Amino acid sequence: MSDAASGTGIEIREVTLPGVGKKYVMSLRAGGSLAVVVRPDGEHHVYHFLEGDDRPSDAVKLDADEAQQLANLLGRLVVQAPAGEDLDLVLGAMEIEWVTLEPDSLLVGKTVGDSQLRRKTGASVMAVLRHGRAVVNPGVDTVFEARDTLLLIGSPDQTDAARTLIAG
Amino acid sequence: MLELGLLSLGLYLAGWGARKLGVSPVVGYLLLGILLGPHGLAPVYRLGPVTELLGELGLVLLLFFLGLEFSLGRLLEGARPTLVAGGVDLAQLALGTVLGWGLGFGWLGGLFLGAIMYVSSSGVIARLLSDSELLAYPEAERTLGVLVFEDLAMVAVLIGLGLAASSGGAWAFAGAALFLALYGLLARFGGRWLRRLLAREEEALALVALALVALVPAGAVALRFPAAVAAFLLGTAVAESGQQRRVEVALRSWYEVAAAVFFAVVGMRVDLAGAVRELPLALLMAAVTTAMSLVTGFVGGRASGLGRRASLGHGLMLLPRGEFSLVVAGLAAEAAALSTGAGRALLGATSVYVVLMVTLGSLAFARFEAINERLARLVETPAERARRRARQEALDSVSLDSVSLE
Repeated sequence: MSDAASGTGIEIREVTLPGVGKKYVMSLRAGGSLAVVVRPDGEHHVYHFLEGDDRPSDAVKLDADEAQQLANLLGRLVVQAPAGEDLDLVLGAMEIEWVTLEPDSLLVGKTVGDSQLRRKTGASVMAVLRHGRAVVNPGVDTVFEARDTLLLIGSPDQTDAARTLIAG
Repeated sequence: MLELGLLSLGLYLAGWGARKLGVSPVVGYLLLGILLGPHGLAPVYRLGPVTELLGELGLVLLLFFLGLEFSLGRLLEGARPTLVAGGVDLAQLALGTVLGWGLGFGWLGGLFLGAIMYVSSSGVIARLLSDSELLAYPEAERTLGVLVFEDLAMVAVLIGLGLAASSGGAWAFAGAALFLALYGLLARFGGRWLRRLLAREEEALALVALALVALVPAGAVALRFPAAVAAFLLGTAVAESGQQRRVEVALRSWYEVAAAVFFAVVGMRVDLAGAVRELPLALLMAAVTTAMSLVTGFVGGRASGLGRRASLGHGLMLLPRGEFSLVVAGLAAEAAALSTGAGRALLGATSVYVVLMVTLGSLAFARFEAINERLARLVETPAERARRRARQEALDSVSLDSVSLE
């Protein structure tokens, strides 16, 4: 069980459900909460809880592709690129790096979520290259394999930290 | 080849039938073994070498997979609420032991019965929960936490029972101590070695993993340590190596097939006449377990911060009994310190008891909302009753409105 608060002050609680998967609970500012249960097969169950109720009022089941699609949609809607010189500012502070996983890397066999790469280093995995195919925007349950090539994004400090973690 | 084919086909049909009836396939596998096994109603099936081998492997794989998911790390993640609810849940072990003593099994036999009745089936419950709509309920989280607690408690109980029941005396003690010391070394220093060992691809990984899963329990047996516990501990060690998911994928289909065969073999060992003779004991065990589970579930749920309805739901979810109960009963049947009659009685009764509890538990999951609601009314406070009535009225008026609109 862990509590993670990002800069927005919105809390997301992460719980392991042994034998089932992982549960993420996000409290909503308007009251109530959203719970997402992620299964090892990539299926995502999204539940809506009304305030003061401990049983969900609504549930949606998404298979791995649908969940990915929804994540892309939300990502596109939420992230808006700044225009003009602001863009250069962002690009200057940002670094994109390629790192290949050795078979004895700590990450091999872990999922993107379990690796906590982003939480520990700040760098994000944008894509994974595997057997000549690309997994773009890998979900938290994507499992790293030996010889995967990761496309990392972050500040130079963050990508350095990620390199060290991956090699360790 | 014929044996494997017929066995798989039979198991498939039994599992399919059980699902059709709305219960866990485990019930189908057990009944298949009991009815068609060598001592059954229609003894068409005899225990061949393939069935024997897969049955043994099934037990080992069942416990290995439990160890992968239900490790100490998971227990610590669950933190205080899990420990509180798990502690209250331990009362079932004590109550079952007292019941066994009262029934004339003596203290050691009583402890066997207590352990059989205490431990819920993590395998069955995790599967039922996964297939249900109840995953996001607060009691689901608590239930899975308590299952981790129970499984780890059972490791200690099984080691104790194995030592108390064996005739090996000092040698058995030394063997168990040696195995635990080796496990301690592996858990403490072997993580990196285990990770490298398992950092392989495809069939190399499957072969290495299968070798580990077969050799470690076999070595444990040579040291007079229970194979089931050894497999569980191996699972917890692999869980820490970071290769857990890949090992799971590599061994998944072995696990599914062998676990089904394990339950059928347990059924085949049951002498139907004996099972009928032990029916009263099995029914008593089932009735006491149901009452006990609901009460300790409620108390444990409340003590760990769940609401009244959720606490009742917690008890309902914990009903199924399975693999660990059968392991304990198997140990009882072979225990030198128990009379053969007592050991046989426990094994016969437990097989029937597991069928009863898995059936009951499956039905509790299938009709969870209705049963939970019924029970919740028994313990609701006046304020909750008022709120429920108000909500019911609101729902009624909505349906009336829609009728008038039409």
